[in-house]
Amino acid sequence: MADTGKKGKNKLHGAISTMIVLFPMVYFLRSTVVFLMLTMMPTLASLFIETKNGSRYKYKWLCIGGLNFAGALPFMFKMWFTDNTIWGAIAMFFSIKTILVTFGAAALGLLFARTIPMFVLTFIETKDQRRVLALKEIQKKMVEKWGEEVTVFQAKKPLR
Amino acid sequence: METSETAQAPKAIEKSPEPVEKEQDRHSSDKFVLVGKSIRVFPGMRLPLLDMPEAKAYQAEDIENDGTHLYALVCNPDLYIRMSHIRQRIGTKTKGLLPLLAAGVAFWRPLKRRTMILIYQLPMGGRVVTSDKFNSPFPREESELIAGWIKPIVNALNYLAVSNLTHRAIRPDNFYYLDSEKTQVVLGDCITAPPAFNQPAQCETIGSMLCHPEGRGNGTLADDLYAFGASLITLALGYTPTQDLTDDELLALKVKKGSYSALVGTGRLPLFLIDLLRGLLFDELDQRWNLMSIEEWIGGRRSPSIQKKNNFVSQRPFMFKDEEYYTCRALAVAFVQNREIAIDAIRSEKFLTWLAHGFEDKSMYDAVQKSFEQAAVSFPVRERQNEFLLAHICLLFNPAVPLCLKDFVFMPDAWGMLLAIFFLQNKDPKPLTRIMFSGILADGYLLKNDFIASQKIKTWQMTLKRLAVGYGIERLLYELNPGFPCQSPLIRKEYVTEMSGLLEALEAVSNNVDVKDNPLDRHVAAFITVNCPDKFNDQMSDINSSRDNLAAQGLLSLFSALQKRFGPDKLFGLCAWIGRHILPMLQNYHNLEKREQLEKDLPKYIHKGSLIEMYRFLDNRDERLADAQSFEQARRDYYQISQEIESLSGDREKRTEEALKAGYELATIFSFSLSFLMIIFLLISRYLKG
Repeated sequence: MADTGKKGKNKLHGAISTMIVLFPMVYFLRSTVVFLMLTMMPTLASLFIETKNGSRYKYKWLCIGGLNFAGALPFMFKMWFTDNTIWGAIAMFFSIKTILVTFGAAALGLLFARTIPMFVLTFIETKDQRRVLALKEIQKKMVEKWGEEVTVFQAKKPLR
Repeated sequence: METSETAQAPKAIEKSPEPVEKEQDRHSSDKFVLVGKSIRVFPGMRLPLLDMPEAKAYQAEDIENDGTHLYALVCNPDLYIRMSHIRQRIGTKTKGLLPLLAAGVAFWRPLKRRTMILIYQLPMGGRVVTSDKFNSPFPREESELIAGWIKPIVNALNYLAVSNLTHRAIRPDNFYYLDSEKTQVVLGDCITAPPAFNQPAQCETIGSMLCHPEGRGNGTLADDLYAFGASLITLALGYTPTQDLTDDELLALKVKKGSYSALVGTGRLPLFLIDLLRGLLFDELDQRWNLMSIEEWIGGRRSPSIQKKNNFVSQRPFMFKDEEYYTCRALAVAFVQNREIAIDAIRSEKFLTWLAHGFEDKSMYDAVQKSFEQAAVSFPVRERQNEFLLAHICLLFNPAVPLCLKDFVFMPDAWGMLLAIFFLQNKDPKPLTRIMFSGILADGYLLKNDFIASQKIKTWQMTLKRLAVGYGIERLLYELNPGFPCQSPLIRKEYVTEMSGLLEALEAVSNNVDVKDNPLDRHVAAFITVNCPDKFNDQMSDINSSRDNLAAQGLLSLFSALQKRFGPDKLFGLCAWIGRHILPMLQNYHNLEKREQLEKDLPKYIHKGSLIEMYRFLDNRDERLADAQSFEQARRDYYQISQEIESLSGDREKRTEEALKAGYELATIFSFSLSFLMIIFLLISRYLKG
């Protein structure tokens, strides 16, 4: 009981500390946060879908997110050095160029997430098949040298 | 051990140089046969007066010693001869025994095979008895008779007894005068036939008379003394009083009157001999005179030898084959003589009634009752029960009678000899093994109070039961008959009695045998195991292995050890022959290339004629060890590769998942790398703009 009480207190302390740090940051970077919230929507959507579908490997949103962020960065830089306000952030986002670049980058991320694993899979399968063929050739040579007896092996069991 | 490898032997192995001709045969010619190094025997110069019943006599000479007069007895190679005498008596001169100067195996052209030839000193005075009727050779003076006849023969018998031998061929026509003055009397040959094989009925005890001639066994000194006594009667009288009687009539007379009375009949013997002869001819073994009694008699002590009466006499007779029998001893003899109908009498109620009511002493009745119970427990088949009962009850009634079985009547100590005779005559030895396992033989020894021998039977039974090469009946054959020639069908005609001659014999026959036959058959293996002090237990164990390569290795190891120990240096034919049987030995190497190389090089070693080199070539310990280690490593590698293949191609689903995961990771890394590069690019461009 005492332990449960302690854990609850620690969690509370953690949440309060985070709030103390985060709130001033969100307050001071409120334009950046708004801009990122808008431009990173494809990433958030992808995270949401993956979480909802219960995907085993949740890499897709990271892949989209990486490029999405890369697409958003030049506009964010531009905003920081021109009109670093909430309205400035909204105006920046709603320019066609920003939407095309950021969402296009996210689409490219999606394309990477779809094609690269398949490419890797094909590559690995081909490599495996070649390795198996090479190993079988080695075994064939061993049988030619030692006879069929070489195929019989019983791994020694460790003594108990 | 015949395998496919054997059949596919390289062609080079099939060709082999001519086998080595035997040294001894090379020095023999048409005119003479060489025995040993210097004794020539002349097949064209017969000496018929010195013939033995089973061996012919020939002129012989010693080229290194012209002064010695010799003659040779050529043994019948199909008959059992007494090798123990040869081994112990060669070169020894004993008063009263015809000196055996040499003996050796040689090729005898008239028989077209090798056989044993005995070289004796020529008895210059010839045979004592040459016809049925003759003038008694005995001097009239008692002292001369004792000095010239009794003492030498007693001396000879004493020597034989000390050497653990028996003569068993003492009969009137086997006495010789060693010198031309006819002063030295000696006993003639006893080696050329089984013990007592040619003995006339009057010279054998009642028990021995009942045996088949081959089954009389070595017997004891008492048997020789009996034969000596019986011979003295004939020599003293100048004729044999019982010569007109058949063997059965003589036997009946001996049983009825006792041996002395039966043999002397109405003959008139010198008075001083009567006590000696009575003593020597007692039918009861415990009453018969021994050497000490004879020495006392020679010394002048004349104690009357009176036969004790048999107290085991029934008050009423037992009728068997229309004859009345009052004693168990006599009835036992009758049973042995008429064994076909004896069992019916034994199983009749009258028999037990006679035993129960005829004797005051009931011990015999109880013993017979026990025999019936023992037979019922030990043997499920009635025929076997009958066989046991007949043999057992006959021995109970009269321990002097032989073992009485359906087909054989023999003394227990003749079993080994009978086995040898069976093999010589190519008879199936199964009946003898059955006797051994039935316990009748052990029983025979027990009832004769020979407890040591009865214990030996158990060891023999164990040897018989082992079917492995080097054991079984063949092992017993050579163990119980020391010096018996090897009976392997391969070398039987070579008459091999010593280990030193074995490889030479195999070499001699190597070009005439079917090479598919294993040179180490059961007989050769047993012969080696018994006659070689090393026993070669390890090699025999390998030879009996179910693994062909181990068996082949054992074979070559054994023969190479034999060549090393006994020679000769070159055995071309045998090398080629063995070469056909050792190919499985190549399997000792796992490396197939090494095997091929060995098989290719093997003929070179075969042509050298050295089994030792062949063995070294095929069984290089270092190379085999290295091969075995490499093979074990290869096995492990093969196993690991198999596991890798299994992991690569076995569970594809897992492998696909791993690949997809890696793909996603790569895509993510790629994506974040672009984003990082973008940050760097923007920071640099901002910095450059100022």
